[in-house]
Amino acid sequence: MAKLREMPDWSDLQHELLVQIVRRLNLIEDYLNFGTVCKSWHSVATKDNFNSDLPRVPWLMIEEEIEEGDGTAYKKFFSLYNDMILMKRIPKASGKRCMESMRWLITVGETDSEISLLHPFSGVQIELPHQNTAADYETIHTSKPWTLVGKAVLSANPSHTSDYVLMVIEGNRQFLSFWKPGDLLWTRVREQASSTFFTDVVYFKGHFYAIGIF
Amino acid sequence: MSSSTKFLTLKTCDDKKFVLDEAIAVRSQTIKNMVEDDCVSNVIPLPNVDSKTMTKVIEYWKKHSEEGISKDMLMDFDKAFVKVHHSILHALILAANFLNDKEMLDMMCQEVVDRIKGKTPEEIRKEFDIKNDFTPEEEEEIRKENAWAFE
Repeated sequence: MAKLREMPDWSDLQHELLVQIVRRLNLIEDYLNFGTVCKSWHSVATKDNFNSDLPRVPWLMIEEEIEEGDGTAYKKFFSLYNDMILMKRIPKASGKRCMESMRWLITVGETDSEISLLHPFSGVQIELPHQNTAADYETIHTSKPWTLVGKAVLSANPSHTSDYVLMVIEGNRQFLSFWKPGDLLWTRVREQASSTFFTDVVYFKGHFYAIGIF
Repeated sequence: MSSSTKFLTLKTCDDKKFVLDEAIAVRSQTIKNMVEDDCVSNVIPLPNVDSKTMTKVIEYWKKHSEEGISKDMLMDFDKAFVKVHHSILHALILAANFLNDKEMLDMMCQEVVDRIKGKTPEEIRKEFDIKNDFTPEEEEEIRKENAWAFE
């Protein structure tokens, strides 16, 4: 009697064969999806089996999600490759406004307006002078002080050097100010520019370039 | 037939016999080891491979042993060869693994990978008829475990 071919069980594939397959997935999104298929596939999709040196498409940080039960806050990251959303706890960034430069976050506290540089994944934090050290803070600060900084740009990665400058557009976008390690205060680049409106600032080959409307 | 040609008889798990030129059969490292260790009597049993799968394996071996075949022709052959139902793909992976044919195993694993790329977990399950054995809570937990992906 002919034996019927049974449907194969892919979740039953030998461990080392699953490892051979998963090691070929060199995009993190595909890799993580593989690990979500079933329990046995999940068991091989470990951190150690992922070996990819491919450059990654950056993930977009979107709004925070607070867990209903214990109130744990997760930052959510959106993949431009396949719309996947990843969650990660970054306690030092919780409840703060975040900007990014050179893979560091510039965080501004919503209630205290404390401003810091934060490496989101190592947790290293560099505290910056408070915004209220800026001249005219009292007159220019808005009802939402955490929006005082419009954009922040680093000249170098603080993970690699202490010789860097952080340039910000601040004060309702009227001013450019900078801070470098060791400074106790922010330094304004232009003092009397009340009619200026800075829309953008970038760093390129040793110079900051800002675009302003005069 | 040249006098140096030796033939091996392979017997699959469903008792079908395949007579094959030894020079081709030793693409399987498993068979090669048996031949070299001189432990081949008359018939080599392949307890983990059925005849339908073995037919495909031999088709692959013969094509890849053809003299004077161009790289392009082999590539076209391989491309068509892997376009099979996932149940056959599954059987071929197990066979290639048992026979220890690394080249063939690599090609089959790559085909699985190509069928996974760009798909959501649900689409992957559909592609391979896999049952989702996670509870919704476990799935949620996995999403949070994935934080290492940023490191």
